[in-house]
Parts: sequence; structure tokens; C-alpha cells
Amino acid sequence: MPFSKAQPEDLSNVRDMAYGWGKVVSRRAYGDEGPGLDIDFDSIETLAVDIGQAVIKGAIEEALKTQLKLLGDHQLCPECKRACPVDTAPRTLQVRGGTIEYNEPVCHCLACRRDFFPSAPELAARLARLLPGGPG
Amino acid sequence: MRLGSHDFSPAVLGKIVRSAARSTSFHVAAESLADEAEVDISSRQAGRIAHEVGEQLRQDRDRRVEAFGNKQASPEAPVVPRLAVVSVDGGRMNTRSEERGQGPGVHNPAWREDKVASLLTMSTKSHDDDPHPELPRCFTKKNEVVELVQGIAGQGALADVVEAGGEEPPALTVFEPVEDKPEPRWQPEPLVLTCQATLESSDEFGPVVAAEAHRRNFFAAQDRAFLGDGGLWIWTLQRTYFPAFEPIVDFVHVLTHVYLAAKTVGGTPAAVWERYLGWATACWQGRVAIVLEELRAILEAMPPPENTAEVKPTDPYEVIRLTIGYLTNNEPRMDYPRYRRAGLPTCSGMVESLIKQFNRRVKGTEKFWNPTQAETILQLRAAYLSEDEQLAKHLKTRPMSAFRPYKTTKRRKAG
Repeated sequence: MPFSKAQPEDLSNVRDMAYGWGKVVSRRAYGDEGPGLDIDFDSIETLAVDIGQAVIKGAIEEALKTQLKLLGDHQLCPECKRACPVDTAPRTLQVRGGTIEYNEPVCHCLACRRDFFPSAPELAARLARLLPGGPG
Repeated sequence: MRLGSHDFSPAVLGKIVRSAARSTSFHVAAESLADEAEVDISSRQAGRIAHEVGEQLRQDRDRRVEAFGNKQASPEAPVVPRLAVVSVDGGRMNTRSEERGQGPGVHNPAWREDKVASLLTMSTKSHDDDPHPELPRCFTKKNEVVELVQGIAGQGALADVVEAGGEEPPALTVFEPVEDKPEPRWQPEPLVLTCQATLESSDEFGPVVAAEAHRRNFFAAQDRAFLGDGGLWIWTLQRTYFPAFEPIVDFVHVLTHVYLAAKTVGGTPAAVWERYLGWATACWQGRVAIVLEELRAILEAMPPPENTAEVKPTDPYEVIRLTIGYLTNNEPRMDYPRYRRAGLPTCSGMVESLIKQFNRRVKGTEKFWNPTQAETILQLRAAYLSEDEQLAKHLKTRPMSAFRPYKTTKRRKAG
């Protein structure tokens, strides 16, 4: 994410938290007594992967939704430099570990009669101009 | 966001591209993606993505070649190689007509030659004396030599010379276990390999190989060698673009010609083997003139074919004549003792192996490529096989347009 905060290097706290969620999920799914002896490893693994995929989906969708706000209401057309309103278009994307729903920012330039998609380097340059310290 | 028009995250797209480059077909790629990466994709879409990336790689390559031609390119490799080795060879792939309106199916199938170059840096050291004047043991073991000859002569220019089933299967022998002492290493050791491939002519391939050699700083290397199998276009390419590289003809090809000639002369199997060993050793020790002298004497004693227009490549007279021609043309590139002293390679096994790796992707009874797609898949395979992470770098930096077709978005909104 080049125009927002850099990727945190130490993710151990977040990882610990997610590990705790895993325990919570297990208790919710199997109760405090845990899975019965009739539940085999494959079933336990399938549930865990399913939950992991839900975490992936939630994490990416939330990050993208927050990032979208940084774009503001208008973006300049790369061709004619007119300000165009930022809209969104739903899109289903395959990511590592599942599928996510993404409201992709889309701008339409009426003058050029084409859609454009704000690109990261332009946003970084714009943000660098707006913020004296540059993007963190 | 570096999201293209395909509905995959960049990481998943990377998996698709790598799988399409690695697998034997797009169908196999789609299957393994579904099974191993849980990515749902059709073989047709995998193919579209692979060709799209291959086309970008082709454009990148053409830009580099143009910059090299205009003397605007500078080497990317900061380290000057100790030994830079360029090897060039050709393979075969099936193509079909690209013309539209001919209906479904394969039209005008034809074999075409794909040209492959291996650019390899090697570590080496020079020697005061020839480090290995004797013929290596692998070339003195009959089973291994027969296998080598069948591997080399079964394809390319010598394919017609080997009669199918003409080679007797090596006899099974039970050997007493002996301690196999490892020979001290004297050959140069491979370091980093990159490769280039094309379906275009050798005239167009030359600048491509030269641009890649320049990118890798090969022209500044302390020692430089250019290996080939003896094909005329290869030496033309060498003289035009790599005049400062030592031209060396692959010893295994020399050995193949010599073996076939020794067999053609006839006699008992032991006599044939002795004749082969004598000629192969002479070539290895740089005494090609002696072999040529013997072959010329044999040819003079043979009755020439009556009808020269219908002479078969398997005709004994023709085999000897071709061998003499091959050795005469390549004699200046067969000074093997000097190459060994200088620490240069004498075999082009690396490019031969590379050809097989390309064939694995592009060659098959059911594979008929239209020329445009053949070129893009060759680019993709070359980037995948190159050891300097060309493909990974390209996927990270490939050009992405801010624009996408208007109708794509409209369709998505509507649906």
C-alpha cells in the first residue's frame, strides 16, 4: 500500500491476536469440551481453513474499504487532467486463500469517454504534494 | 493497486503465469492450480493470461534490442563475469496457419525451428598443462556413447543417418563392484543461466542474444566462449555479434559424427569400437587432421554412388563424405587441448538440456501453435527458465494501464 502507512514489520501482536481468535472459533464450533472422538483430523482442518479464509476475506475487504476513502471525491483524468468523480464498481477477485468482494474505485471521464482507475504511483505523488512529510 | 482486467490478485496472477509456463499445457496448468492453489480458472483463461504476459515480455525484449542497437543500453549486471559462455541451438515445434476464416481445426501444419540461446556465467581457472588429455571415461563406455549418439543423432541434421532400430541394444553385463574414484574437477562450473528463444530467423535472433549478453555484461568478461553444434547459421551469428568470443564446436556432436563414421566403415563390433576410440581420442587431443586423413583415404577407396541425385543420407559414401565436411569446416573450432588449458568448456550440454526444457512446454503431438502465440509462449518459458528471476521481476513491474475498456465496466455494472 504505497500511499498509506508502510506495512508494519512486526506483526507478532496481530498474529497472537489471530491465534487467540482461532481458539475462540474452536470453542464456538465444538463447545468447551472440544470435538468428540468421532471428529477426525480432516474435519478439524477443513473447519480451520474455512475460518482462515474468512479472516483473509475480512482483512483484505476492510483494508481496501479504508484505503478507498483516501482517494477523495474526485481524481484527475490521466489523459485530459479534468477532475472526475470517484465512483465504485463491485468486483469479485480471487486472492490467495479465497475470494473477496471489492468495491473498486472507478472514475469516468466524460470528455475522454473512458473509465480510468486511479493508479498507486499517481496517488503517492499526489499525497506527497499534500503532506509535507510525505506518505508515511 | 496493480490489478489488471483479470479478476485475480497480483499474487494469484503470478501463480497462474508460473503454472502456465511450467506445465506441459494450459489444461494441466489449470488443473494443478485448482488442486494445489485452489484457484478456479479455465485452461482457456490461463492461456489468455500467459500469452498476455508473454507478449509484454516480447515487447520488453524488443525495446532492449532496440536500445542495444542504438547503443543506449548499459549492462545491468554490476559484476564482471570471470567466464561468459554463450551457446546457441535450434529445436523444433509444430505451427499452424494464423489466417482467419478457415474453419475450426489445424490448417497448414508445419515444423519450424525455434532458436534457443543459453547465456551462462561460469567459474573457472586456467591450467599450465592440459588438465585432462585422456578421453573422459564417459566417452569410452559403449553403453553411454550409444545413448549419447542416439540422443544427438535422433534429431536435427543427423536424424536421417541413424537407422531406426539399427543400433544393437547394449548387452547386459554383471560387473564386479569396483571403487569408483572421483576424478578431480577440471571443467568450469556453471553459475547463473539466462536464456533467450525465438521462432524468428537467425538474422533477428542475433541482436536478441547480443542484447542479452550486453545486459549481463558478457562482453567485459575476462574469458568468453561461444559454443555451437556446427550449424552454419550459428557460426554466422558468432562472427557477426560475438567476434571476441572463442568459437568452440560441441565435442559431443564431433563424437557423434565420428562414431557414425566408424560404424559405417564396418567390421566386427570390436573393430568399430576400436576405430571410434582412436578417432574420438584424436579429436579430443586436437589431432583432427589425422582423422581427416584416414577418412579421406577411406572415401577414396569407396565406390561413389552411381546416381548422385538419389543418394540417401544413410549411404556409407555419403556418411563419410558428410563427416569429412563437418570436421573440415569445424577444424579451427576444435582445438580442445587449448580450450581445456584456458579453462573453457568443450561441451554444449547446457543448451541441449535447455532445448529439451523448451520442448517439454511447446512440443507435443497435439500442440500446433500459431506463430504469434508460439513467440509469446517462448518468451514466457525463457523468462521462467532464466535464473535471474526475470519473470518475478516482470510481474512486479509490468506495465499496467490506468484505463480499462469502457464496456468492461459497463457490463460489470449491468451484470
